Amino acid sequence: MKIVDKPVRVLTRKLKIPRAFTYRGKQEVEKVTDFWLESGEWWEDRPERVVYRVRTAGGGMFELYRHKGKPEWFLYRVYD
Amino acid sequence: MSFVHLHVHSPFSFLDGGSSLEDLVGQAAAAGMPALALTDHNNLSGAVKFQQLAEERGIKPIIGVELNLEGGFHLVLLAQNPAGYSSLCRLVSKAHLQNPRLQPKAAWRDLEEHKEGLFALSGCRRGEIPHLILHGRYREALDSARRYLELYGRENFFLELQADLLPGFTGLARGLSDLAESLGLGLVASNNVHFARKEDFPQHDLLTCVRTLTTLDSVHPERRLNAENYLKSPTEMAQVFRLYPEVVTNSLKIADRCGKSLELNRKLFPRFPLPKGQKAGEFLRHLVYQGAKERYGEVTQAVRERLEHELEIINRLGYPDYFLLVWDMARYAKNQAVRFAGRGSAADSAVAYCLQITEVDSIARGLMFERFMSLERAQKPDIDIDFDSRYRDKIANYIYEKYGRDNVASVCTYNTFQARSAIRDLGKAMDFPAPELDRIAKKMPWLHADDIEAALASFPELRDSGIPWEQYRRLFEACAKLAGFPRFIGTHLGGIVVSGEPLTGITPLQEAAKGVVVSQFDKDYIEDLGLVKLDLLSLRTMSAIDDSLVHIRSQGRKLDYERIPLDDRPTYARLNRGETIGIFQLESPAQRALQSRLEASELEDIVASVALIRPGPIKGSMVEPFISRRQGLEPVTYLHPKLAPILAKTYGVVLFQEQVLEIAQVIAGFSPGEADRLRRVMSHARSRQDMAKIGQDFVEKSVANGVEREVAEKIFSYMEGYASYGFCEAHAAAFATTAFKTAYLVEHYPAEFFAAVLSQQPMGFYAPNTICVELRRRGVEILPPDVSKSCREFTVEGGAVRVSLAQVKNLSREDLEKILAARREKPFKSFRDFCHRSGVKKDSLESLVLSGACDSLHSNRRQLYWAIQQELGARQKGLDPNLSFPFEAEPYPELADYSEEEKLFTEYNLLGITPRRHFMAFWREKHGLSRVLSSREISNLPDGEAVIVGGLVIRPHRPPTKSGRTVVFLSLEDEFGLVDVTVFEDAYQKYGSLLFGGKRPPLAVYGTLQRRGKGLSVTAWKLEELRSYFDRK
Repeated sequence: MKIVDKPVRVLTRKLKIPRAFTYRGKQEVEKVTDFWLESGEWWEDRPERVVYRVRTAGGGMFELYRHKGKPEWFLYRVYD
Repeated sequence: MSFVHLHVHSPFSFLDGGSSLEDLVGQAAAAGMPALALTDHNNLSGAVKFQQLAEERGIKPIIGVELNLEGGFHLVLLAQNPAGYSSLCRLVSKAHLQNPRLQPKAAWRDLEEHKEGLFALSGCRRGEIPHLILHGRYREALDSARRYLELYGRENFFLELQADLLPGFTGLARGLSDLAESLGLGLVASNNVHFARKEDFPQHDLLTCVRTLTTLDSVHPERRLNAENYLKSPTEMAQVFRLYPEVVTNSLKIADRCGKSLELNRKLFPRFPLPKGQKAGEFLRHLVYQGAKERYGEVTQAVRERLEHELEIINRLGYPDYFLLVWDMARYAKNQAVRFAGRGSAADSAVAYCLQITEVDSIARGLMFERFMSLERAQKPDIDIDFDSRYRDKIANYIYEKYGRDNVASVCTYNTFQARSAIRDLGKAMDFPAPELDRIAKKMPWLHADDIEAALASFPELRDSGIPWEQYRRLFEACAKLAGFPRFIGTHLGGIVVSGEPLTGITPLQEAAKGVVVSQFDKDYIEDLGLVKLDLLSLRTMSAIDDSLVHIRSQGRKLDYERIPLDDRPTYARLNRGETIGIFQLESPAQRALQSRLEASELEDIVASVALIRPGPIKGSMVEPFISRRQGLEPVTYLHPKLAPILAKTYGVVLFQEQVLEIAQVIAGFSPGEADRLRRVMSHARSRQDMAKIGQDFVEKSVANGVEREVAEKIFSYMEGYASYGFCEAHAAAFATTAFKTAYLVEHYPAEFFAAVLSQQPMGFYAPNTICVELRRRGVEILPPDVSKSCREFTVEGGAVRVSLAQVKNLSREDLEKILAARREKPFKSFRDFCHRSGVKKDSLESLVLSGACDSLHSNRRQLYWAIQQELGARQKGLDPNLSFPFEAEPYPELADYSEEEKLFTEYNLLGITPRRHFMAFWREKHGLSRVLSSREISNLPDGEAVIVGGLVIRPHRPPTKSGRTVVFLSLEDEFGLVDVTVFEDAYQKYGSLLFGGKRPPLAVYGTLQRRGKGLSVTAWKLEELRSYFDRK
């Protein structure tokens, strides 16, 4: 398991649910296994994060997030 | 469609509720919710207030709890009815009392035993079933659900669905839903509410950090990942659960099935164990008349009428058992020779006087019983008694044993965030360095946590401190938001609740610090429930009186305290000189100033004194008119002739609450009970409109009673200005007797009385050093501590006062007893002999040497200090000082002793006293402070003289004033006594930081002498550190 926490390009479907992203090549999302909300570091005025745990077609598990109200996506964690 | 939140935490979840009860209820009402539940962690403290708030806002309150279970799981329980409420109380009590303090947990057998009248909800993620599902243990989740189903039944057990948007929530919701389907269980939506609005999350997160001792930057499993656990609106809940609409409607169905569970204002009075065949009312009457014969000799018609009047009210309200309980307790105290005195409004009662609970003859004083109890108010009696502090717990224990530990408990108090505690706790969570927080907290005066910002601008010790307040802005904002939130439950100082039935069905009990079992409701909520309480207070003055009588007897003299004459002229002369240090209730600077002008000549003057020096009369400008009229400098006038008999004893000034009652009766024709209700309403009136309405009513009734309208309006304006401040005359009278008797002791037995006061510290207004200055001023020598002569406590030795061994800091109780035991065998011959035979520890030895307690064995303290190591070594080797000395001993090296100044400082640090001489005496000699006048020197100077005085700063304080401007009162202590100093706003703004905010150095005060009556004070225009004055010289 590795923390990455870097910006990443994500394609989404309706309701901004990820369907593919780019990390060492294109990764197709097979299933969103979980999603949740995080408040983040409110004391540093950081906005909320919406986090998705996804399983890719290649069998990998990843966590992607975006800040509420902002378009950029980040890859937070890669599961082995 | 609406919704009801059935899982809600308030601040009474102690550091886990981020919004006040007012906010939670207000939010629910504003969203149109028909009901709201309160489910704090293992606690029902919020229940009474919650119910009152909810009913005010027109929503149904549902009382519940989130209970910790064995295994670490949570369970939400809601009361359907009064039986359900009792079940909650019993469960919470068992969870607390059967486990170590602060680790409550209920056993399964307790749930089985106390399930009547309850709904059970599966709880949050820490509920057993959700926990198992989240961990993939579905089989066990099913078994667990079956167990709860069997226990509570299908109608009363529900699985909680929470869309908390935390990891795994969708899987959890699916798992719970499947479980519900397979077992035919109901599902209900909840939101595990911990704060009212989403934007309140930060303050909840901070509280979590405080609770878990972490900082904002740290990760902790108890910190919520998001801000979703707020009181979501019905629309939001419906949106979240749009796929399961029935879980939303189920919240309404459950709420609908909940009736009123918490009944307030019940009659849960204790039952006194009566003699066979007797009823409480009869037995009380018998005792009262027996007591009346003792008190009055002959029971006259007037006495009989008064007693019958009181007994009628007591019986009709159902309180004879309560009075019997208190009578029995007072009787026990007397039998055990424990000194006590009833105080407060109970002294308005002739029944209490005849039962020897109080010592105030309310009939002779013309005091109205209705100030204490009335049919109209129908409130519970609340009798307060001061006991000798050493034996208060013994008396409390008697109550526990007599009425059963199931029926008696101490009352709790809620320790809440004030400025200092909020700065420390929240600042730590925000990761401010501890030394910084300590510095800021120590600088803060006692303030509410939401007054910090205002204080920064107005208190000079804060403004001029050099602390960069701006960088703590966020901290102070957080303090303001959490101001007044409860932090933990503590024990009320004196309150004990005694019930007629086991308390655990009425109020949950838990253990507070020191193993005391307390109710979870404080004194106000206890009363709202319908329980009665007593206040058994500890008063060190009682102990000091007792001890002084022992000292007097040990000097071969006799004094019957009960027979001290209340007209002793030398005692009044002392009061009139304002020399009242050590006298109960009369020793503060304001009291000393009053006494030196009042020319008190009878007990009534003392009664008035006790009532006059209070914020109310001071703010209401009543003190000056009273003094002027007392001295005949101003005519005594009455707005109406009917006021004369009421106000004559206070020279036409309204001073006592009882006078307000009497005025309402004679002027407006109120009944006694109505009059007391008027007084209470006036003192709680929240707005000008409320007061105007009351005034109108009073005036109309007065006019109907034949009083002119203009006169009635003027009378009301006097009452109005006074209403919230007035003092209870009975209470003042109760205190006045003790005040005068202690004044008698101060006048005639100063050594004995002050030795006792010094042994009972901390007590009274002044620290030990000031008392020693007063003793010296009275010609009584202070003898330093001496390992060969001092006892545990201060003693009188040949007319002088010997400092006790207990006064030496760092001398443990154990070591003190060792010294006394060794000395009993034979006196100490030398320091070595002392070290060897007493066996005391190094810390104790160092303190004893440096405080001068070994001076009689060897006068050079520095040599002794050096010798400690040597003597401890010899002791360790088991060397017998009688055999080995002087052959084994190294001679003490040639060392110059500590300087006088060094000795004074160490004595002061270790004893709080400088027994040999005062700092000012030393500095005057050393620095030749000819221009700095002593308290003795200024006593001969005329009014208006410019002076410089110097000394140690004693008790600076800033009482409220009518103008709102700050005036500081303090005393400067020198070797001859005290100089009272007044610092007005301008000087305070310049020099206030020398008086408040931590260090308080000795000062030189530049000012003008003011004479008033026999008293004098200095009005300061400049303050400076005495050290700076020395340096400049």
